[in-house]
Amino acid sequence: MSAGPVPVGYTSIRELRGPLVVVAGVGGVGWDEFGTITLASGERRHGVVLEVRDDLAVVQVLEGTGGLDPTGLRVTFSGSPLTVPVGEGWLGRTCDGKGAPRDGGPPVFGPVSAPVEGVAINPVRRQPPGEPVLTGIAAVDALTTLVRGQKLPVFSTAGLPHLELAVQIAAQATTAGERFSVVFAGMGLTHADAFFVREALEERAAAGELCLLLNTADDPVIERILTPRLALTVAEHLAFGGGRHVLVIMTDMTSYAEALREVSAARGEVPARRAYPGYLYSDLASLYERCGRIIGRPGSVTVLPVLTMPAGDITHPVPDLTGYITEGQIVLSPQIHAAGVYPPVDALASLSRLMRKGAGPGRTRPDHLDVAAQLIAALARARQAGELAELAGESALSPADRRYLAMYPVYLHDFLHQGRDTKLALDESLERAWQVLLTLPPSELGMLPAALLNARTGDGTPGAVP
Amino acid sequence: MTSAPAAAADPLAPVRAALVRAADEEAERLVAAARRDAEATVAAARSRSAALLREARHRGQREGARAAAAAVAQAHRSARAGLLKARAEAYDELCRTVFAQVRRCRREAAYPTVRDRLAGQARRVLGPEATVTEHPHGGVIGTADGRSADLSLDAVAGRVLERCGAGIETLWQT
Repeated sequence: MSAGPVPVGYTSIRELRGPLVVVAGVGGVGWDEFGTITLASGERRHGVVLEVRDDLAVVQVLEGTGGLDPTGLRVTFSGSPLTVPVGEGWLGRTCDGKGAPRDGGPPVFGPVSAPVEGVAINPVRRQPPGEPVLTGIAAVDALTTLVRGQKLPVFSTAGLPHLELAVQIAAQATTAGERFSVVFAGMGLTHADAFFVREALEERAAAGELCLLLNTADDPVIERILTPRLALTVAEHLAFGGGRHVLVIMTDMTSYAEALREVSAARGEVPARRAYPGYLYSDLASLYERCGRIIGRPGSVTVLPVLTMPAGDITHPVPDLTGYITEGQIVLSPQIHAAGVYPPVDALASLSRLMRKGAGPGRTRPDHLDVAAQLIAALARARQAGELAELAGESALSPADRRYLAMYPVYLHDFLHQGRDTKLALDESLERAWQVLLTLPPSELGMLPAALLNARTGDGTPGAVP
Repeated sequence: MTSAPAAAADPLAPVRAALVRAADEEAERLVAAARRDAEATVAAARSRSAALLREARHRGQREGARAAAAAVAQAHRSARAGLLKARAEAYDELCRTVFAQVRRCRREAAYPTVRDRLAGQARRVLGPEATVTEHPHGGVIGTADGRSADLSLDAVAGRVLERCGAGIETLWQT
């Protein structure tokens, strides 16, 4: 076994400023290059090159510069951005945002290493997303089905249970009978949230089905930028190398974007909208476009990013630009949350653009798409009836509108609401949807095929699907 | 003068008898009603207690199942944590052993040759003017104009260990 090329260490430290080390006399060093900072005591820290000018390199130290003495420092550059070993060794492990163990175990090993930066899947080698990932959440599985290879964000606001929902999906999601894994990347989490996530997902991690990457709020921002890239690198190799269907859950992407803004400011870049860097769109795309399926290869990478909209503003740059890249969205509603319903998914604002590729005959259940379409239509009518009732009073509504108005609470409590540890099979979710729809007269259910409706309303045989 | 009729002994007797009879019947009705009430109350209490018992039994079963699941999950977690800790210890022990063995090579006859080769390597990387000093734990450190090359035995061994990759996992894989 060879030790490889001898790395050159640089010892001329011009300045220590906050988390930054300015190194002089460097040559051949590039942006985003990974470095190791060795202290006189032998302690080692890690860093990323933020800026290079002439023979100066600005390195952000991941572990911080506390206790560093510039006279005894040696900075060594790896010659490339961060690489990590990849493979099944990640499954069952809990690590920080740069891949160092947080579970008391040894470092993660793998047969090969891959650059964390990664690349998007070549468009001509892409296989369109297809087949569902079942989350065990009725509102998602029945109405906004997540499809393998899709990128479907959750739009939330502060105070809503988006972390609980993300964790529940991470704990429950499956791809019926096929090899499935979850990579959960938490960014900017408080210690309490990190503890909650770890507790909730430890069982699945122990079963060797999940990899947990936790970047806490007090961790360096540059590590927060690495976290989703590391998660995707791990996922890509589990999927396209190991033939698994991998769900990558990334929360909170707004926290990621804020870290990107901080690093951009440290690099002295010209700020764009709301001080985010002008390349925020392409940066987010460089993450989200790493998911998908590849022609001729087994496995898939599906991405479920969670982002909080500051002040609930959907036009904020982060949700706005995310919406351009992703294939639909799951929107959480403060009003539904206030009604004590969990998960507070606003079905009318939510959409899975690829649902037709993952649901319906031969994929989930033959009646799935019809039931979902009818329920969404009924909800839209219920919302109209509610608005009309607010203006003109309920007594002014037509009998049909009153039926829709009466249906809405049934939908909230008998379909949408489910326990935080309740996993619903797709059949159960669709049966719940049917029960809501059957509170309406058959004449209002025109989007359902007559045979399907007769089977339900005629002899009452449940699940009688032609 | 005529005498009063003898012994219309108690003219109220029929009335009294009727009242007593009515009172007896009323009492019987009341007693019967009270008995029925008592039986209904007892039956309701029995039914309620049976329902409570059933509910308590179900709740106990649920809580027991939850506690058992939590205990199993906790046992899994502890086992997993123990496994990871043991692997970390094995890895640390490997590193300690490797460093100790590498440092021991200073006592071998070939060490001066190794040291000279390392010094040559340092000069190739840093230039012929580089200052090369021997590291206290073996190997050399080259320095030149704000640059350094760590070719101490510890650093070389560390780089070799880093490149071992998944091979290290054979420590705990059978």
